[in-house]
Amino acid sequence: MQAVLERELVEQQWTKEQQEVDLCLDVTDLSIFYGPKQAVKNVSMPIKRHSITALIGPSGCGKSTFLRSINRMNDGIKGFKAEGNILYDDVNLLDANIDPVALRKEIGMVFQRPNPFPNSILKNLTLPLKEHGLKSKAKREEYAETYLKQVGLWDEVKDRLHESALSLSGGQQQRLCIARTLAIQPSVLLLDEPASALDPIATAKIEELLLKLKEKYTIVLVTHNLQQAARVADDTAFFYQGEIVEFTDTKTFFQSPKEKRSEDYISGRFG
Amino acid sequence: MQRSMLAEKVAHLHRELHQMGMESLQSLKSTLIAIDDEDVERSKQVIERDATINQYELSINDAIVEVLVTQQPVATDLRTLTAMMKVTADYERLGDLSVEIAKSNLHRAPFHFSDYEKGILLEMGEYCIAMAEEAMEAFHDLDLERVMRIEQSDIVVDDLYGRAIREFILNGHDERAVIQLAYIARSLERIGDHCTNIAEQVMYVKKGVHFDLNRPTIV
Repeated sequence: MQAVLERELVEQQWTKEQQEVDLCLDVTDLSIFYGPKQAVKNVSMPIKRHSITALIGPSGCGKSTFLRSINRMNDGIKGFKAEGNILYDDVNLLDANIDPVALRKEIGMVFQRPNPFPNSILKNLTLPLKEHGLKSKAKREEYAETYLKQVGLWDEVKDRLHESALSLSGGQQQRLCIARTLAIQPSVLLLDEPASALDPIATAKIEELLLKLKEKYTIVLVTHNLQQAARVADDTAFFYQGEIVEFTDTKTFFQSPKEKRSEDYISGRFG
Repeated sequence: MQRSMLAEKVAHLHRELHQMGMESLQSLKSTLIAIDDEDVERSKQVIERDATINQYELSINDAIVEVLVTQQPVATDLRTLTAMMKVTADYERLGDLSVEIAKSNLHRAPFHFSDYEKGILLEMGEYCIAMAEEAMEAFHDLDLERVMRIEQSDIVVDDLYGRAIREFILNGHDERAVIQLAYIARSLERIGDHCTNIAEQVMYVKKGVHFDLNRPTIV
């Protein structure tokens, strides 16, 4: 039986290694400091193209810091320092000569609380397009329709495009924010607890949307909702005290985690 | 708080499952005593008490579904609960096969098995009883030592089954008895397989990987 055990484990390992992996982001040895405090410790994570990667872990474990460092949202924080590599198409996103504005066009971010502009629904889409240089008003409105359709919001808002975006429900506002991010055509979507302020129906809509969007985008998702990670993510990383305890495919992670700390966390025994 | 509730529910299900295993084991022991003693009444009791085992399967599976729905377990807890569902099916089949053996004893009633023929069946039966006991304990304690013993015993039972069939066909003293002897031997061989299935579930709960113990070989 021992022989069977060893053979099967070797076979599984082999199968895993044989699979060709198309990486969108390749993070290696990333360390992040806020002054003397190290928030992320030597983290490496290959993020597959057109997949959803969930980052989970207790509050303060470094997962949001990690996420925000991918599109350089931490740069302005006093004492912030990052070491290591975040390779995106062979370019290290941490390089000093990277233009954060251009980077954020390529790697968009959606936050926990929906933050639409206090303008009309339509303007929430057309304004960023204008800012990014799309001169034709007709084109901007055409794009607005395309992306409102992509997030499944068009039918709900097509007759009230000129009403304030703040009149929408929380879930609609969040989908509007996702549409706004998509409108500037990024390749990667970073989402920081995008459904934690939403009710279960709005949450389900966001999750269905993410599963649809991963066909076109690479998605990295921070979530406190373990079931959400289990439902939507292809891979899951468990952060604890700034380190990655375990990073593997989601099915393995929730069914048979290798690390005891992962098992204890997802079973609700600590954290 | 919630997790200690889950631990409590899993422990309770383990106890229920163990109880179900005891019922199935009792049926197996009883059906074999009935063969040895040519006791038709005892065989009828085995058939009657099978309903109790079936009821266990339904109620334990209902309770498992309730825990899945209300506690949303993951990792070891999830593997334990899904494995339990499979183990209830194996215990239920163990009960059914004991009933099959009991029915063969009823069909045998007009004639007799020779002591030699009974000896072959009872030797297989002893291995099966030992395997069923090991399987129950192995699943309850997640004991891999017992899993290894079950795997070895199943090889022996498979071998005894092959020998039994050859022996009954070549040397059966009464052709009317041979078919019942073969049915009983077949049921015992299947009981060995169900015990091995339970051992595989122990491996799954413990290691998180599916194992196929004692893979069948084409002879």
